[in-house]
Amino acid sequence: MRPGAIILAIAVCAPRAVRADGVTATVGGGLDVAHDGTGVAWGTRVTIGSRDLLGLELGFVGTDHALAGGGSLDGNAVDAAVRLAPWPRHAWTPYAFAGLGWQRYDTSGSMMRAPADAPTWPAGGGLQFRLGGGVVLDARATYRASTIDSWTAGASLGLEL
Amino acid sequence: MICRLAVALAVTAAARPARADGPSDRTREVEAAVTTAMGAAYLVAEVGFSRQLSPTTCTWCDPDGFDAGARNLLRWRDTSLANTLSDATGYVSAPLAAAGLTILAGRGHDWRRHYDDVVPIVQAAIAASLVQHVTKVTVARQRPYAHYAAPGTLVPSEEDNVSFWSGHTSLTFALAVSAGTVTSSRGYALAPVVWATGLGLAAATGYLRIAADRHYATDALTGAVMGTLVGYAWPKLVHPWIGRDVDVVPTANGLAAVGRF
Repeated sequence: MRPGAIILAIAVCAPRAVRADGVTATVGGGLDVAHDGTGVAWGTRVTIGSRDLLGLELGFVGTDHALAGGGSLDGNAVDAAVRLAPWPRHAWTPYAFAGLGWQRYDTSGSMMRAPADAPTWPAGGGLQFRLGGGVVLDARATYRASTIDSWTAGASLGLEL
Repeated sequence: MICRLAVALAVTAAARPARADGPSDRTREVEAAVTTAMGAAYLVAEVGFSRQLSPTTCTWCDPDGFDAGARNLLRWRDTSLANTLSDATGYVSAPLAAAGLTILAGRGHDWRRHYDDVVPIVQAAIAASLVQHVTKVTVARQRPYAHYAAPGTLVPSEEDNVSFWSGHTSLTFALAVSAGTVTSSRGYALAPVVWATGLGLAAATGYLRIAADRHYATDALTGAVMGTLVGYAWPKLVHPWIGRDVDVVPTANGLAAVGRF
């Protein structure tokens, strides 16, 4: 999906979010695979309209990769995405998402300089399972195009209000 | 008498007992706004302006004998592995354990109870992180990896002079103690499991931060103390209704208040 289409989709979805059905907040983590190997990822995400066909996601993702020769590459990204869930009220809700965000990297304890801050284009899919009592379990995979392209796979736990 | 009867009828007509001392849905909306604002403030400080806020030189540069000795004793050969593991315990396992076990401890209740239980934990974690952030840029203590680096082997980074105190450690202790405080105040049977798991992960995180050469022992110990204080005080002071499980229920003679006192 082209960046312009993502921005247009978010602009269209934002007003719908005001009268959205279902707000879900989750925390979780997983693995982040980039060109230099596998690291750890963590984050938090709010989905506005989690019981709607179209929802709006706002999230933060942090990553850490150990660098060869010592030190670490630390990533922080914030993003917004449109979420499409064909069966949004089922106990098992599959969904796809695409959006945009801002990615920054920092290195520490290393001879390597961090790449510059850059836009990021996250896209992927996942499965949300409603455990009952408003508790949700979410598993997702995200491809994040940016200065350093990466794959993140993880799980998170949260509440749907 | 008529008044008592009317109240009894109204309460009886309700599908569930009315909470006499709990938050309303309006209060929950305010809590959501407060939590969002706290989280946004932290993200702006940590992600948005960390380069501008972080000190470029240290004002507290040399370690004392205790810290130097503890570093020699506890630092791993592969510090990058310890750093990654500390991120996994501090940012993934500890939040999931605090939220997940608290929800599990309160199983059988609806989303309102889970929300009321989890929000103080989230807020305590963010509050501890905000206090730590202000402190670390103010104190400007040099990290051990930067202090002991051989000349010419390190590209200066915004992370080099923000050692005091350990944010990973204060975060995990705030999560552990707030989750333990909430579940104990509620009288949940799983409260001891919540305490043991949370404090175990927090202690492991503090140790790993020293093993990773990211912090001195006094950074981790101070983080543990500060996280404990915030984790205990936040649910008690900001959410005082937790632990007052008082329900008003109809009886044959009118109303009765039942719960833990």
